[in-house]
Amino acid sequence: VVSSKALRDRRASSSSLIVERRRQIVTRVLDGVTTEFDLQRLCEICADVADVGGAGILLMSDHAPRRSAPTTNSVTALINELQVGFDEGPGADAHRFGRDVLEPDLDALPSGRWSAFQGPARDAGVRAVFGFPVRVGAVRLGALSLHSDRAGQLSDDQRINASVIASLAAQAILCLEANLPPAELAGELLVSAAHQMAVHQAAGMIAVQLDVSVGQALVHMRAHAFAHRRTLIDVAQEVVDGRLRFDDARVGTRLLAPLFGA
Amino acid sequence: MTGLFDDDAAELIALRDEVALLIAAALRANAAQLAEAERVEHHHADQIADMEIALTHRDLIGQAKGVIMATMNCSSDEAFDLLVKQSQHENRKLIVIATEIADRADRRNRPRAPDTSA
Repeated sequence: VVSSKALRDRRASSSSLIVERRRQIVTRVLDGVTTEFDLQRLCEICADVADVGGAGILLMSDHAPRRSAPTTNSVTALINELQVGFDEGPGADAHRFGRDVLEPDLDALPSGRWSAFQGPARDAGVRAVFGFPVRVGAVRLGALSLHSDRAGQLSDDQRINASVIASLAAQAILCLEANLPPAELAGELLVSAAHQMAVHQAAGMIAVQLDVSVGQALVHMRAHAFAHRRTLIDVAQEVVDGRLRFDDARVGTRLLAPLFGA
Repeated sequence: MTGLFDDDAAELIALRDEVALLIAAALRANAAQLAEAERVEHHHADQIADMEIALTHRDLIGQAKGVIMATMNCSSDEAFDLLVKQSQHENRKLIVIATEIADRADRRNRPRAPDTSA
């Protein structure tokens, strides 16, 4: 018999593990954030902490043509190009289905699965591929793809690290879209704004106020916080409390380009 | 990490599916007490993945609540009640309804797909 207390303990232990792992990786990411931070750097850290051959991020906004963002090496670049071109592969599927995609052996794919992707990837020496959705709630930004030249499943640690990196990548993409300097991203990661309920409620409210998507609202909120020297969480709380509206002319938020500059 | 698990009532229902998953996972674990450590390890990874999904669902429901709050000019609790009622009325999962609401702002604003009928 499973008691509800046991379930709560289980959940608490899973969430505290994620929180702790997140903290460790954020520390590591921030070591490299002093002056320069971009998705390229995040990919490099990802390939390192997930201990795989390479990592790449696909930007797959509905507003713009899909495109390959930064990668760690030429094989990763090829993996991304195949995924953009054929809409097949671990990142494409992770984005489409909104879940982790783990293919530990490219030679053992069911027939017909990724028929355009498999051959060229295999020719480039890739044996295993893994995809993780990059998203913030309902906002699907793209996917993180990992590859290895050896067949084999990811370990628990590798999988957890990749999930955490995908979540950090989502925040990084939103900050880059808002044209924020690296220090702002560092600040956001340090205060763990990612899963604050107020931030998400405010995003939904701003989307209605500005008649934009929830993703664009998340970008607007960050730009506003930066321009007014406020934290993201403070701005979000004001919006939720009704003390700040983004359709008020006095807010004066400059209108940003849609996600990914479509 | 204050605020990560506030809003207990919302979370309870939001995580209904995830709790069901965890119950299933826990039952599997009970049945597999004699299984080797490797299997337990793998089960743990699945549990972590479930938790990530739970957090994403929670954020998503927050976004949908925000859309409802601004549209209906109502409170967070009222927005959540509306989500629950709509879910019961349509007999569909709350997370599905919430996704559609959060995406609705998105779709309205999205450039029209190219006309391929010609």
